[in-house]
Amino acid sequence: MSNSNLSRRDFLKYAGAGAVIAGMPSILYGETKEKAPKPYTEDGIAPVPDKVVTAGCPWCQTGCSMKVHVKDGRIVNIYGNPDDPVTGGKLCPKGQASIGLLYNKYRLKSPLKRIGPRGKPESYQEISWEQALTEIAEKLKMVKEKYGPEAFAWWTAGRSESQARAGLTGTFEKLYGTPHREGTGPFCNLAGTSASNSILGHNNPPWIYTREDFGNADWYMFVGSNSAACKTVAFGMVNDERVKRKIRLIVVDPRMTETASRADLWLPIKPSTDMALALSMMYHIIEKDLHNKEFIDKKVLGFDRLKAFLFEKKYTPEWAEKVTGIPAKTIKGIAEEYAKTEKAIIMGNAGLSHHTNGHLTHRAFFMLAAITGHFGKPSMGYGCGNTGATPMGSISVPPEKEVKPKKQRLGRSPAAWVEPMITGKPYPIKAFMSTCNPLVQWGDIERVMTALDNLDVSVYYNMFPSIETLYFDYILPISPWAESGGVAPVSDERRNVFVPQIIQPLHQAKPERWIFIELGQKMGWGDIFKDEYKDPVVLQRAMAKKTGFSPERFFAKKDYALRGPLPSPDAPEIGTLYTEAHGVPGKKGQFPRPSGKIEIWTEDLEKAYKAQGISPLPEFYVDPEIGMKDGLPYLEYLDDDSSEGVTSQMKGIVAVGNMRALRVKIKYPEKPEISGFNMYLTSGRPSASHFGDGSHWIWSLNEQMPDQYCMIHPEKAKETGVKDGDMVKVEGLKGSVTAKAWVYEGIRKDTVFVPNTYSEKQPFTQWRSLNFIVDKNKRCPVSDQINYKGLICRVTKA
Amino acid sequence: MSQYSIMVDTERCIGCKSCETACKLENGIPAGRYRIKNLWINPQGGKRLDFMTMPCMHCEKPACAASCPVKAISKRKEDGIVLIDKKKCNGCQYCVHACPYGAINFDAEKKVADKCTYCLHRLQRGEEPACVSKCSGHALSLGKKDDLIAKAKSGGRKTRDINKFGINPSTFYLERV
Repeated sequence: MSNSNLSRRDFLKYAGAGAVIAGMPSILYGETKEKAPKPYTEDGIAPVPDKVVTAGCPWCQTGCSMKVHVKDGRIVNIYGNPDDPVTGGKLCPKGQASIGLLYNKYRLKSPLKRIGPRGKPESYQEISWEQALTEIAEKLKMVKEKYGPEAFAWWTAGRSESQARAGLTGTFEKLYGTPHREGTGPFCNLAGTSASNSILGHNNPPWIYTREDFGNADWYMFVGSNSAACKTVAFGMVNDERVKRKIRLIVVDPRMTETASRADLWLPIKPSTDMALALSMMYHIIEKDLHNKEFIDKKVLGFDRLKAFLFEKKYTPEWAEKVTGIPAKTIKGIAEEYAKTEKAIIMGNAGLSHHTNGHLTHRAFFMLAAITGHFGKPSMGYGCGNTGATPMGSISVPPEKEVKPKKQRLGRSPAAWVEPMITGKPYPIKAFMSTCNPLVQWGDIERVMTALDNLDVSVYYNMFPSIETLYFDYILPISPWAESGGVAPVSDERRNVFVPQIIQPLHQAKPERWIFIELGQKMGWGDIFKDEYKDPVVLQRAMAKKTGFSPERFFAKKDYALRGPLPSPDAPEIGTLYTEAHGVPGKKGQFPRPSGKIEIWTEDLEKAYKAQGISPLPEFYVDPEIGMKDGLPYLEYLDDDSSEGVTSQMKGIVAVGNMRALRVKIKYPEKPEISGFNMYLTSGRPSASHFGDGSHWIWSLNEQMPDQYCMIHPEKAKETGVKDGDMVKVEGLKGSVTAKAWVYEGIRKDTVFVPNTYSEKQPFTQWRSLNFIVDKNKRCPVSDQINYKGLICRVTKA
Repeated sequence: MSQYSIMVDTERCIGCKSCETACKLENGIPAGRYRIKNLWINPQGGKRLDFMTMPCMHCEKPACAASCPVKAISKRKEDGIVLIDKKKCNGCQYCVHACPYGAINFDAEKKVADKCTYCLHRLQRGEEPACVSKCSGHALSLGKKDDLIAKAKSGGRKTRDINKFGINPSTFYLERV
């Protein structure tokens, strides 16, 4: 199953040998003989808690408030919070299994330093925090001196608490002077975020996840969004409303997801072609004169351009039928329903974002909602999940201490750092800190290994020895949510829930907040990274001086939740965004674009997109592999990650300061350019139990979907001689993985689905990550997102 | 006696398996064993993907109790909940095989049979069973069986007949709409 140099078996062998190797961190890879992991609550039923603490869930972007049960200083259970207006006390498997993040024998337990070759457990030695942080600080200073501050890159991804992840790292970045600090966005839904910025002038969806808003529409279409798995509690509420009120639910997805299984209409679209659905729906609506002229006149710029563009390109439903596989008649039907239903919601998610056309696909859906007047009131609009937070405040840096980067930032995606790490072009990146692991998430995993080898210093901080952790110079154990305290990750709809520190950090692990403060002090910035900020409440008070996110406001709410934007200490919480009354608090206008209107097309936008070879009007193209297979338009890249590129003109949309952008050209192939691959390969969450790598380290979540599966249609399975449960080889352009066949009628005959959260170093089941077949260089020119979901492959019996 | 019951709405269930996690946490059930299982049923013949959530059925005439040679399984008079007395249980596993719904698991470590109690200890504190409390899809409800059936009927919902074995299960299912 494993093709990498170091298999799971080797790991265990090394771990076993560890006992006789001096300094070998045997705690790095714990005992794995135990067949049935013990429950967290020992010996039967959970005790009656002596304390119940309100806290935010550390996992997904539904941002649920939870009730944490504590008995004798140990967390014994987690329930939903009935006082949370979003959840009403419901909770998905992940939230409650957060106990498993704490009491988990696989956790990293002490700081480790690499003293031998990469990739080998015996190369690591336990060291003290003092030694680790002193050495890291010294190396960061040396890199700055030798190569300039831009040579330090920091991937602050992950679902750790927000004060440290989003706040303190920003302060550190300003003092150090690097432009290279990035979160999860470019691997998540930055395509949706940037599209929203570009057209509405703000990142978040219009709705909030309450019954009165998100739950109260009459018509829903989920596109590339398996919300039942990804926003479980929010979708559970919508589905409950559907059963009560008989509302319409349409799901567009190549496979019958859990979400699609509840729908009246499931449209199995061909991967990577969702933009065509939006374009043709608009075409039909305009042709039938069903667009909302009054709304367009008052609130939308660029409609005439869009109309001319759609008609010139002939993006008709008949054209879209050929491209997407959805019958023209169906497209016309849903377009008419949508245009005629006031309370109608379309929601997109990573199924749209993880493509080279992600940004423009989201833009097309925003346009569809705009020309039909679906913004300005609750229970309507288009939006994408996971589109980021609203400003919560930060520890300010005196202007004289702030170091402004002199060189332009190299792209938006951290994947764009890999080539400069190797080639030194256009300039070198030599220091790298990371939570979450690039070796599982970035694609081209072998290339990332080479990059790490070229660095002067690399630091990994996380909870578990995730895949290929052993390629970093330093490995630091962090304390998650209840041990750390702080602010839980923001929800899709701008909600942050406070997490009090409930138990002391276990082992030698430390909260990220503590690590960054200590590191900041060792960098010589003790006047800014103050000791007192190690207390999450004190830090929150200091960060939120100018905003409404004070600890007192959090604690005054029964769910400890505050919804931004709260641009001033006493700013009221606002529900629906983009209404005439509120727009976006703290920003100008109902739609905070420069014009105050929804911007489909303006001269400034045209200029900004044109600099990279595309247009703000979504000209249709698919992902490169699919384009080459089918002879459909796809992107050619005129620059690569080692080139200077152009300076992005996308300020306020996606650019962070001066940022390099890559130029592209849409290629129209005359015929198919590649053969031998008969299937499309798409990916996503295995089930509601999983979220990235982390959930696989918790037995109660992993056992709910333990195996990397390959969902394949019975006809295709028969053709290939594959039976349900067989091991299959899924071979893409860049390599292959194995998976367990799941023969499943609810998937397109030409498509297989392999989920993307598995890896070889997970403790209970081991699978080679699908990201070995992903090409990190095929990215959306605007959002810089990697194409994870529009690949081609062939499937054979393994 | 008023029989307690869990009503499972197969239209509301979204297959998230929150019930499984909730049960394991509340009742200390380790990996590989289940008191409640959420099954995914493959779409076949043009049907949609379906989910089936299976706690104990707390039958009117429990086959498990009938099979038990040491009378360790009994049905409570006041609420019809079927319980295993683990002190009496001799680990013979007859009940595991007798239950036609596969609701009984075997604790190999302690050598006793184990199953769902509708979280009786929580009911006695005035709380809902763990699975019902957290169910993301609002698909599980606990109540007196007659009340739940009346509620389902007034909502125009049909119940699914799963009484194939003549032992009158109390847990019941609402058909998809």
